[in-house]
Amino acid sequence: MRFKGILWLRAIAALLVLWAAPGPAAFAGTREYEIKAAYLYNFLNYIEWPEQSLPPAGSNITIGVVGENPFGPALDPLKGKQVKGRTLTVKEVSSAEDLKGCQILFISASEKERLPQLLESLKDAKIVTVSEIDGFAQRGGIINFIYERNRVRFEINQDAARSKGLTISSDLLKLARVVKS
Amino acid sequence: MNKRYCKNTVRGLRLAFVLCGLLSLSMMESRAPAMGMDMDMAPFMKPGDLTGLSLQELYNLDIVQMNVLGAHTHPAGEFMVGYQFMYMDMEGIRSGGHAISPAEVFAQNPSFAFAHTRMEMEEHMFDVMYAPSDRLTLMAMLSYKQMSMVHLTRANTTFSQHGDGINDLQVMGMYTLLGDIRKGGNRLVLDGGMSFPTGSIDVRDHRLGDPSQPLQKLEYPMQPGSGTYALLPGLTYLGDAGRWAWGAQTIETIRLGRNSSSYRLGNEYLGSAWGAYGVCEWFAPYMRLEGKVWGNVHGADPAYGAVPATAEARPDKQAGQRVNALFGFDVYVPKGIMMGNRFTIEGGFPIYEHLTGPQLGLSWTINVGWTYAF
Repeated sequence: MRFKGILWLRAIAALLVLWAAPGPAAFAGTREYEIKAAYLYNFLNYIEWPEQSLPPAGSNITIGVVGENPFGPALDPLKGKQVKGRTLTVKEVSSAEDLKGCQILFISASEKERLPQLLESLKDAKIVTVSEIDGFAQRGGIINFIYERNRVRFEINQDAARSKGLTISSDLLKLARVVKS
Repeated sequence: MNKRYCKNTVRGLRLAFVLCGLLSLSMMESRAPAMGMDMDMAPFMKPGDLTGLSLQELYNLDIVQMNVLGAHTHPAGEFMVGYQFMYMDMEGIRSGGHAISPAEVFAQNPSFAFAHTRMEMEEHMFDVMYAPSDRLTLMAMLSYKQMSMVHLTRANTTFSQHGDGINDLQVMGMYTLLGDIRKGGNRLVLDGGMSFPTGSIDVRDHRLGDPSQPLQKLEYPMQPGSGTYALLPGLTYLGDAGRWAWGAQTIETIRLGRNSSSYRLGNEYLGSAWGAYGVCEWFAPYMRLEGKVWGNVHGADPAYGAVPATAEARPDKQAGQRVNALFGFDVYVPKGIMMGNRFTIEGGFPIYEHLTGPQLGLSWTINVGWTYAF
C-alpha cells in the first residue's frame, strides 16, 4: 500500500534525524560511574592508612585514575572535599612517581593487559588499588567493583590490604564480598 | 470540525489545564521542599553528586533507576510486574471521516436489523518482564476483557449485550540495538514477539439481550480473542536528557492463517510518540500521540449468516485509522516501604478518525497502571 510505504519512510527519516541530533547522548549522566565515584570517596573514610604513609595534615589526599578515564565528569564533585584533615584531589596519572603519590588508585579496564606489572610495581606502596576488571581482587588488587542485579557491589581482598598495612573497617567488609588471592 | 470533536477538544483542554495545574503545584513544591512532602530530592536535583549518600545507601542504589520517566527495557537481572486497567467509551456512528445517524445507517443498509449506538470496553491487563541481560528484556502479557454494546432496532427500541473473556497471550522480546540502558541518552530497541490464540472467539449472549431468548454469537468486535497466531514486530526509539524523556514506537500485529471460525482479523499498525518531563523525583506529566491503522476481517464467520444483520458482523466494515491525543502522568515512589512502585494515569480522545463504517467511533479512553520493578 502506497500510504503505508510513505508512513514508514517518514518514520525512518524522523528516527534518523532524532538519532543524528546532537546533545542528549553527550550530556546524559552515567549513573554507574557517579555511584562508583561516591564509593571511592566513601572508601577514604572506611580505610585506615599507616599514619606515616599519609601526606601531612593540611595537605592533599589523592585519588588517581590510571588508563582511560571512564568516569567522565563523575569525579568532579569529589574535588576539594575535606577528608581526614586533608583536601581531596583527583588526577589522571601515568608515571610511576605519580602513581605512588596516590592514596587510592583506580585502575581502568584499559589497563587489563598490563595489570600484573602494575600490581607488581605497587606491591610495597600503601595504596588502595581499585578496579572493575574481572578477577582483579583475586589477582592481588584490593577492591573490585562488580555488577549485581542493577547495583554496584564490590569485592575486597583483605589479605592484600593487610600486606600493605591498610586496615579496612568492619562496616565496609560487611557489605563486601571478601575474596582471597 | 464537527460537534463531537469540539466536545473532545474541550474535554482535552480541561484535562491539559488540570495537568498544568498539578505541574505548577509540583514545581512550587520542588522549589520549596521543606513545605512539601518529606522526600529527599537531592539525588534528582543534582544527579552528578552522590557523595552525600552513605555506604549503605550507595549499596542499595539502582544503576538504572526505574523512576517516573520509565525505562521500557530493564537492566540485567531485573523483574517487573504490572497491572493496567483500560477503559474505552465508544459512542456515535461514523462512516469514513464523518458522523452519521442511526437513521442513515438503516437507510443506506436495508439488510441491517440493528445499529449499534454505544460500546464500552474494560480491560484488565497483567504483564511480567524480565531482563536476562542489559540488552534483552522479555515480556509476557495477558488481559481480561469485558465489553457491552447497545443496539438500536429499526423500531427504535434498544437492548444491550455483554461479552467477556481472556484475551490473546502476547510474548515479546526487546533487544537494544543501539545505545546502552546504563548510560541513558539515545537508544534504539528492536521489538519482536508472538501473539497466541488463547482468547475466546465464541463469546455468546442472549438474542435481543433477553434472558428468555437463545444464546447467539456476538459480533467480531465483541470477541476478546482473535483465534489466530500473530507476529508482533516493532521498533522503539528512546531518548532522555536531564529531566526530559521522549520516545517513539511502532508495533505491528501481523495475523497468520485462519481461525476455527474461518476468518482472520485484519493486521494492525500502531505508532506512538511521547514526551515526558520529570518535575521532581516522584512526578512526571507527559503527552502522547498514538496512531493506529487496522484492516478488515479476511474470510467470514458463518455464524453471522450470509447477510449479517449488523455492520459489526460484516467482515468488510471493520477497518479504520485513528489518532489519539493522550495526556497523563507517572507517580513513582522513590523510598520507603512502597519504594519501586510506579503509578500511571492517562486519558485521551481521538483527534482524527476514519472508519470503514458504519462503525462506532471512540469517544474517550482512560488507562490506570501500576508497575513494580525488583
